Amino acid sequence: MVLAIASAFIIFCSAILISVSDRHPDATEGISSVPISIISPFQDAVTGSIAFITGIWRHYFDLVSTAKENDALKKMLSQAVEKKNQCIEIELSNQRLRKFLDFQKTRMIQTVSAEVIGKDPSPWSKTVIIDKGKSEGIRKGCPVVVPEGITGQVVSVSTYYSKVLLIIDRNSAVDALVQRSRARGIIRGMSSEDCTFHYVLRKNDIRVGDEVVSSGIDGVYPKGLRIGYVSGVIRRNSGMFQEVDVTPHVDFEKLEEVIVFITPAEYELEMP
Amino acid sequence: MIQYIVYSCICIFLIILKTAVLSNFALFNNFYDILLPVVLYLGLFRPLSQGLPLIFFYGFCMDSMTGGLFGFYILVYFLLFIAMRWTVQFLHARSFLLKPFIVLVGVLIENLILFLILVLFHRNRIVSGSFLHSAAIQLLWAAVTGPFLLIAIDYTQIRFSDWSEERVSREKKMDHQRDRIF
Repeated sequence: MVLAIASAFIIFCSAILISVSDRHPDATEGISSVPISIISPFQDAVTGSIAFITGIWRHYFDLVSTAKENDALKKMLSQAVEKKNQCIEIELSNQRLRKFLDFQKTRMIQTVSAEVIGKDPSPWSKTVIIDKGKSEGIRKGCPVVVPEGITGQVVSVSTYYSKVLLIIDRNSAVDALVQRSRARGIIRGMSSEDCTFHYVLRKNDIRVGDEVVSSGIDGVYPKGLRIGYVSGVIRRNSGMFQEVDVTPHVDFEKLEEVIVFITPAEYELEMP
Repeated sequence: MIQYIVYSCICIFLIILKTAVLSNFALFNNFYDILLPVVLYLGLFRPLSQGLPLIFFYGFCMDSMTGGLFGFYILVYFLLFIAMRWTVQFLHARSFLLKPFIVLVGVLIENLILFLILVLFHRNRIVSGSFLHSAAIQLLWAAVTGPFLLIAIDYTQIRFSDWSEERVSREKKMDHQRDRIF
């Protein structure tokens, strides 16, 4: 009898807890960062050991391919140097034009690079743990990117570690634009490798292969960051919206290092 | 006390195994919740006083480490723990009928609870095919590896109990000898 009452009580409390955390995700942030602080140093050590062993394999036993790669990289580097010169020229002219137009853009983006030390233990959620936290200036809500595009945002922070919600998680949402037609919508995760582009009006012109970038309206991600490309469009005869599938540029399976934007998203990036 | 520490270390070890080691292999992308066999084992074989605090600790750790709704794992683990306590009233815990299917049933119940929560809390979003795909692969993994994991946990627990008893009896013997000398 006591067990039955205790069970009912705990089930009731859990249901309340789930309901509260659904409505107010911040409510449990403080206590939930405790296990992250305890478990993450071990994750860090294990990931570091694996990376060390993989590094030995890659650097010492794979020298032949490294030499070939080195040649190719040298060639690419010379091309990059050439391109850099062009970019400097473009940047200088850009600055002149901005000044001319009295354009307001002075803030520099502050970033912190971090290493992924662990992935989500649950098969239904898509988060990663990174090895930088409050001590590096990371706060809840900071956008996380890689050179390929948007990765996610910080949802929980401890002193030295942070939890990042990936854009492919079903709880994630990013306000986005189709680069070509400027059609707006919201990118939502599906807990698989793809995302869906919600609330895109039927009248908007969207084609497979179109680039999707962040709109900057959500106040989290700066405008103009790459998200992915349109991989499928279904335009039904009825309804206000069309169904659009988006494949992210980021390969979330091979995520190793990320960049965290510390500066608030009040600025605007150059549109690619 | 030592049992609590051992089971807490097992929890941390399994979470690290899943998040930092298995996650490097695409094969284990949809591997089921790795703490589940331990939760089921605690429900089947360990006393209530030992199982309950550990279940709460396991749930709390998992809820903190994942990106889902906080409280989901506490609820699921507690329900499974109660279900196991209820099951052993009718079936023998070490029955050959129970062991091959218990992890499979546990994974199925966990997925069903998640499905219900998704329907209740996110009514506007359709549960996608990827959810069903993930659940199917988890069930497959549970069917293949579940019985072996349960046997391994059981074996470790028996060996650990034997070692503890042996240590206690040795200490008693030494105390007795010391008493005789003085």
